[in-house]
Amino acid sequence: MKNVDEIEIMMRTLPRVRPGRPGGRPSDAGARTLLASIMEEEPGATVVEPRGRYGFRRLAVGLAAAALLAAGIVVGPSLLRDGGGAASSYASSEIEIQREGDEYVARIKDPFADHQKFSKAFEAVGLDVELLIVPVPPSQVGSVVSAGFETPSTEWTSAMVDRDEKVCKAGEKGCYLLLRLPADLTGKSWFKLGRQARAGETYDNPGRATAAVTPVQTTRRTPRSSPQSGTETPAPPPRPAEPT
Amino acid sequence: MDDERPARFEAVYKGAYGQITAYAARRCDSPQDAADVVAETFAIAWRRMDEMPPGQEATLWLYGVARNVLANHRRGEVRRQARSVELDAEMADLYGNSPDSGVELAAIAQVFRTLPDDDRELLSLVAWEGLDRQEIATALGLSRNAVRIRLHRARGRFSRALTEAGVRVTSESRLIPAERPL
Repeated sequence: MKNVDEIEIMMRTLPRVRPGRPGGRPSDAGARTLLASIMEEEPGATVVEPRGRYGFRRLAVGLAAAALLAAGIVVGPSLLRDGGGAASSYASSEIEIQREGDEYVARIKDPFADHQKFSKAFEAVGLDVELLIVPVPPSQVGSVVSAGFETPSTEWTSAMVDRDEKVCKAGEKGCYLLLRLPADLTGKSWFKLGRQARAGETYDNPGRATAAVTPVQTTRRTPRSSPQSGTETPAPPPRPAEPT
Repeated sequence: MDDERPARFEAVYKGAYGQITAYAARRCDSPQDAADVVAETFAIAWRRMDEMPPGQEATLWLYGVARNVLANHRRGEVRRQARSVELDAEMADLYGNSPDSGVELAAIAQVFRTLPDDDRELLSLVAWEGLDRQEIATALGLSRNAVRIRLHRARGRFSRALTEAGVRVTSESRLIPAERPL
């Protein structure tokens, strides 16, 4: 190996803003304008209402944290503290999982990946979850179409959203399937999460295809209300059978 | 609402603005991209004020946030913040130096860009931001030992890649801005 000092000396020659030199000045007009515009927003809104729609803002940050390292690396808890104690993350090219308070949030980066990759990811954060991404009618994309679990009263949230917390469509930039699960989920569980079907592809649950009266993008199996409760509907009851 | 938060955020903002803008400028293709990264980083910091560690660790925490924002930006997923024309112009000032396109530097930069993203970031945090291992560990949420090991491996990969590319490193390299972002 080349001498470490040589490498560092060489490295210092590369950036446009030289090491040891600051970039912009906070007293400049643009910097002051930015500060003012940022502080117009309420600080800590995500903390005030962690389970509401702002949750996806937190998610954007959390998932960004998960993307910090290359595939398959579990990130230490101090990266982004969620106030809930130990947090851990998993990131691979197929899925990212991030602890947010009392939930784990999984973001499906490759809905066509082998489901064992997803299982491995959940295992890394201590969950025994089998996640199957299945083709569904457009109205059910982003919804959990069936699930089974050992923990009683398990609740979850699923959605297909972008970084701006808005429901989006498959194929749009930054639009991914999300699944929120309770961090204290124990025992084995499985979920079938709906994705957009490919052209000519058979829906996983054709029996529901004709009942396309559920323009639902967010499903939470929980008695709690949310600011968007009008768009929510209970998920179908879990099926005891193992997924195929 | 905690009344101390605005004052604290402003203090952190003023203290870290130069470092975060430099961080972004060293890694982004354009001043507009760098401005986006800076704006989003501080916007996230404001929203997550309650999680911001005290003292000097706040800057390290901001590096971690900026790192994540940058990763998103590279995937085209960064949210557009309300950045101003002035901010773009001020960031453009950081890009104003005309690069030295020395053959050796260009070759080094080219090899550097072939390294895995994590390797580049670790090497950069040491050489550009001047962070030590413990500080990198704090910023990235890793153990100090993990940083040590990964840094060692990253240096090894960089060194081997330079050798394979036939780049001979001399200690005479001067502090010259790179032609392209890294």
